[in-house]
Amino acid sequence: MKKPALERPVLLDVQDITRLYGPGKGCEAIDFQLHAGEVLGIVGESGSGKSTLLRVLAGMEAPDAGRVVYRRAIHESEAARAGAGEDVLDKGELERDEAELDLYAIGEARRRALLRLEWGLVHQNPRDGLRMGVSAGANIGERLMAQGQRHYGQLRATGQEWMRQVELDPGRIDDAPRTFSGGMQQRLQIARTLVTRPRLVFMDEPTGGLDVSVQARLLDMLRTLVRQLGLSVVLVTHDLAVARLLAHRLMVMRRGQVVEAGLTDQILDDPQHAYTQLLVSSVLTP
Amino acid sequence: MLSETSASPKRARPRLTVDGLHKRFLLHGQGGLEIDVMRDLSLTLDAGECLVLAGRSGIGKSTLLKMLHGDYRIDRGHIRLHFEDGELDLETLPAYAWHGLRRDVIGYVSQFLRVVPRVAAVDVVMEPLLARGADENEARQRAETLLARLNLPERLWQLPPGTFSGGEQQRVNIARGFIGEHPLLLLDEPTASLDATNRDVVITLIGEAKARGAAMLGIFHDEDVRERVADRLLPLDDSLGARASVTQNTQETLS
Repeated sequence: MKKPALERPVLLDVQDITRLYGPGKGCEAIDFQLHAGEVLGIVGESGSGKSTLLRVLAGMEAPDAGRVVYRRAIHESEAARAGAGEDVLDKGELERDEAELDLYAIGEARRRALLRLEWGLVHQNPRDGLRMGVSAGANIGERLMAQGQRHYGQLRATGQEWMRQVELDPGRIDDAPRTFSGGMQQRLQIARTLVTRPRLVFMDEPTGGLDVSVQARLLDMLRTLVRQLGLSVVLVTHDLAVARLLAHRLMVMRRGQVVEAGLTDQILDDPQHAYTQLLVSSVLTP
Repeated sequence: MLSETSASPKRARPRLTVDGLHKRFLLHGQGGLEIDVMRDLSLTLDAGECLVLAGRSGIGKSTLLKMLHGDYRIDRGHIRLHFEDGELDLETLPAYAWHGLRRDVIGYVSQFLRVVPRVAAVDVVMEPLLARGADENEARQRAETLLARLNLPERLWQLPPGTFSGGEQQRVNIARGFIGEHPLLLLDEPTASLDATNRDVVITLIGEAKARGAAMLGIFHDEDVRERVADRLLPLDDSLGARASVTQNTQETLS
């Protein structure tokens, strides 16, 4: 038996990030690397700083100190994966041969281009990620159009295909999201985000505001999509059961700092830090 | 070289060596209580053999399997996998490297199925193959073949196992554990809630795994099963150090 190839390239290199609104408010000295194909869960209670950290990572809020470096060199070999989709990508704002992008050193325009072309963000509240006034189809098509796709029939076909993929009735492609239930809106937001096949996706409590029955369905869907699209994900959640199902690896945050990190099973089954032990032992199991 | 081969035909390099393994739990919520669950455990495991852990419950058998699977951290000692082209030390393996190791090398059949809501039994079983990028139809076929061999009624295949009986859930779990044909398999009481017919099926599956060269480390409380699958026994006792392993024929010395 040959030794397995276990190395995975680093996709996101987070170096000593600090973003504080006040003492203990925000996040402090966060250092980690996300490897290609990994789902990293950031867990902690409200006020732990996990959402602040996600905002910094996702390009929405500049840190007080530290760097977020996106290593995109590895993509070139994987570009073929996207197949035909690659032809329509207009990567004008992003130099194709650039191996590394320092998220807050590049300008606003290029950061936006990065978010549009190679990254995706799923908000906890679908209303923050959707345009509620325009049709479901237009919501899905928007990111594709931003990448340069103009063919109406093709956009519509892709929209219907993605509605099926997230188990929405493609017959409702012309309906506005405001006529959808919360769970449907969340699935639409996911379709809208993933339609461009982003390499890196940030998710902020993606099952947060949903009924438990709807949550289960969404979790299964996310697991499948992550596998099929080979996504790398940074997932923020306070729900350890969600973390167990989706994340390969966890970081536990408390008062702005990471108190423990490791394989999901290790964090949940063999927690080392007093706070993690408290967190894990406080979960109710029905 | 020739004489070496003829002198000891079974002198293959072990697939796994465990050396001086320790495990201590520190419970902060209990005033810093420390529990030593394992002290200085060592073993070797060859390809194509099934080593069965024996000893009273609570002695640390499951703990050992969990350390080998990365569920528990390794406090002290070494766990080393041996490959044709090199070795891998698990105690220093970075977290991201475990994902691929579990997918391709180390399989685990636990006592209880971790039920994912809404996922059908057949999808639970085929997931390890899909994770490797296998063709979906082929994965489904193999999953169905395994479920059929384990006598899980066909009407249950498309249902989520959450409402299944203990024995039915366990068979789903076994199928999921064996479908990936991992070179190293950890078996934590896979036959615990099965009837005689299905115990026999599991014993056959273990035999097939041996035949293809899988190395297995298992816990079986059922003596009949233990006798039929074990090539060696590794008794754990209260000193929490494994004694020299003995063959299955001397198992009456164990309680």
